[in-house]
Amino acid sequence: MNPSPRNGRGFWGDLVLVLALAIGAGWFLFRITTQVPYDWNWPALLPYLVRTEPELAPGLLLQGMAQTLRLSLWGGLGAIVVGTMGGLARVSHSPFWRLLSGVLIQGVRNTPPLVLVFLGYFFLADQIPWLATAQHAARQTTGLWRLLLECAFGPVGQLQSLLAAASILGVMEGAYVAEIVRAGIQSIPRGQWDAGYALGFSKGQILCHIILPQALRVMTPPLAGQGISTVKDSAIMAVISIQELTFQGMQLMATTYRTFETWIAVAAIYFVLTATLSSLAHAVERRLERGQEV
Amino acid sequence: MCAVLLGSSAPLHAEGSLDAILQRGVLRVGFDTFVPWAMKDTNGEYMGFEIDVARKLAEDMGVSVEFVPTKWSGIIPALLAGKFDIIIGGMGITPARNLKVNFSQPYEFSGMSIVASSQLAPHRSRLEDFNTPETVLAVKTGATSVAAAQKFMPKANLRLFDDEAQALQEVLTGRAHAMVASAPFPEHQAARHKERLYLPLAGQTFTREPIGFAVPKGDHDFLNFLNNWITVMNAQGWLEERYAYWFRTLDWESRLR
Amino acid sequence: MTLLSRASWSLWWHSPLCVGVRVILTLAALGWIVVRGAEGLGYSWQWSRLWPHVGTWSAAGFTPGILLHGLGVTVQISLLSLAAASLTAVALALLRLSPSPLSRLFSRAVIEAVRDTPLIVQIFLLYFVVAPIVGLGRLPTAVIALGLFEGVYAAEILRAGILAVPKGQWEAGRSLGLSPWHLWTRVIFPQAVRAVLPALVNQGVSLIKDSALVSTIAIYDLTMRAQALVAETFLVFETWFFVAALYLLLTGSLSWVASKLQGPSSLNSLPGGCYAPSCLTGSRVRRASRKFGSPAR
Repeated sequence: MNPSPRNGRGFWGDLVLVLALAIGAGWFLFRITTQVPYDWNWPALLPYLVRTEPELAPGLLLQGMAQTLRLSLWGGLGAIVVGTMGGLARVSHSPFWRLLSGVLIQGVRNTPPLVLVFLGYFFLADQIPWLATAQHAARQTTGLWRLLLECAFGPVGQLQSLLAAASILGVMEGAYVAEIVRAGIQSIPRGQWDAGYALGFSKGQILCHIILPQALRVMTPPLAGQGISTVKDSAIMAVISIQELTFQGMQLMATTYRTFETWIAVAAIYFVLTATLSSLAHAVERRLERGQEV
Repeated sequence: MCAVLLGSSAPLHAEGSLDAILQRGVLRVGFDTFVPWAMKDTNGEYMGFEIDVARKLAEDMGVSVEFVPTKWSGIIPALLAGKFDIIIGGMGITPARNLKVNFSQPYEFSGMSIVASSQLAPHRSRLEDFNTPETVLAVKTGATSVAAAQKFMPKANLRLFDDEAQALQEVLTGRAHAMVASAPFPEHQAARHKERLYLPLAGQTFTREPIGFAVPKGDHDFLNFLNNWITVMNAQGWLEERYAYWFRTLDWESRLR
Repeated sequence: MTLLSRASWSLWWHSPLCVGVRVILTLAALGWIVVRGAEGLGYSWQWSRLWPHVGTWSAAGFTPGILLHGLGVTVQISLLSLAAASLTAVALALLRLSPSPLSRLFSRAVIEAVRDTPLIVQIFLLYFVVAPIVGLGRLPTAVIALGLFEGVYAAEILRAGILAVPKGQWEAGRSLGLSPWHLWTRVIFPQAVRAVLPALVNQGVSLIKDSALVSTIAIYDLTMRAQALVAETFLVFETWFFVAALYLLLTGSLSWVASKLQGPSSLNSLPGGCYAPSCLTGSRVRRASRKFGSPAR
């Protein structure tokens, strides 16, 4: 659709845009070269990406990226669990569950993530004793188990804080997933329920075998978007010292004082991460659409 | 069900933390990046004065050490919440903090120092010069530098940052007149950025603060162990030797880059 | 007899009043467990120490404490950023719909770059890298960062709204001889905005919530004040619960105002709102055509 078809305006608009961009870029370059002296030193950042001594290994930033991915993975899984429960409660027949889940979901959605993170970190995380138990059990592992554990959860010493952060992230994102699940279930025509009842299925059976498989197709695009948001939202966990990418960026800045290079690199890594995930999600979506047509 | 879940965590904290550490075989140490107290080298390993102290302490206890980097502004709540067993991070002993945690005897002394922007606040040589409403001072959230700045320069505006690099950046870019931090951080920075920073007090500190280990309240056995460990280390001259390496030389800088 | 009473009991049990009371009781029980849990961990609640930081009553009247000052800064930043976000959103949405491929490319690039990085990293990047180069202050940096971030999301919402305006509206407007300015401001935007109002309000709520992140660059907003207070007094839970309540009050009142604007139907609206043309209520279209006179006359 093309709301303003007059070509002349398009040309002048382009000219103005190009001029504005050129002036902006020129001024920026002028400031950076003459007004604000900064000795760029990109090679200094290299050992923090990939270190070569004593052996080839991921550096601080790549370790942080791995931890970001782990945190997002477990947080995302938590969000699906929380969101499914919340979404089902939102479409429940009982007004009690509808109202209770509605209040809790709105409460989470209307509180700043930063405040939720502080509350969760200092408060709720300590009240879940199995976190400490898991940490203790993880310390006892050796050999292959240890390797697998470190692949999935990162350094064993940070297991407890990682799980706590993933739980908080799960609740934060789960509040949004719940609405996606609710919309997905409600998008299925009532007739499907009636047909299920007529065939003598129980409510749970209808949900599992008829409603959710169909709803999943509707829910996939927004769920993928929420998954990508989870990667970005995990950055906030830096404030409670989870050693993910943003936190490592802060640490790097604190030790090397290479402020400019550090933050440009961190932003670039996030960009690559989420852009890759978005294109993956798009590919899956197209695959699904094609599947639907056949 | 919730009550059961919640209730069972209480005994974990109630038993002595010394026993818990020995049983676990791991000493969890809370700290934050303060150059040269604790920082990361190019290999991603922690190094610094406090890191040496923590390693030695764990070695003498016969346990391994685990470092838990934590934002300074939330470090005492995190200790109380059981995120780690002890703070070894150059924490100054203050009465307000002592109401919440137990401190060991001091194992080193530190003092506040000030570094100023030569462009924004040139030719100042006394603290009173900074005690004006126009002055912006950058400090680290939750550090004793906040109290020191408030006490000696009550009229100045304070800007709180989560770490010292951010606060320093503020002075370097000319958005703050000066930064207050524990020596020798300001001295090192003034030496590194000679053309943009200078030391108004010529490297003199204006406070003297005892630094101790912080542990949760309740376990006096642990406190007794820590106090005597410090006495022994002082007698051996180990603490003095390490202190000299980290604070009077710059030999360690090559490990940073 | 028992059957009847069971039926009436069930009716009463599911009545709105009873459901409300049950939900409140459940929430209170959850809260009690949380409070007791903290005491089990050896935490002593000291709410009385928090109040002086909220505000004090004296003979001279009420003096707001640092937390209320912080709330004021949060409101101020939110309002400024809201204005910045609106400008960004309109500009980017128009560029995105423009016939020129260059404009479309530019707006796509901005939107993708902003959407694919976390806000906290953008704030750091703007504050520590761009601001010193360009010479921006702290507050403008925060407003630009927030305005750009929320504006990009709002731009996509607005674009969907503009696309949802039926083609006939454009044609009608043009055939009436409306100038492009009048066509946009009187016909297209009012309908587009109305179609996506719930989603825009959600974005506004996000803006207030995300403004908490500017505390990381030492702006004395509510979150920064709370952090400093916690570091000073160690009143961890009291402070954070109180601050959470203040934020809820802010975001809740925005949602409430928006629901009043929109009418009752928006109460249950989804994030993303309704993009379908059928969502456009006829009244606004009618009002627009009444304003400009109908072509039949």
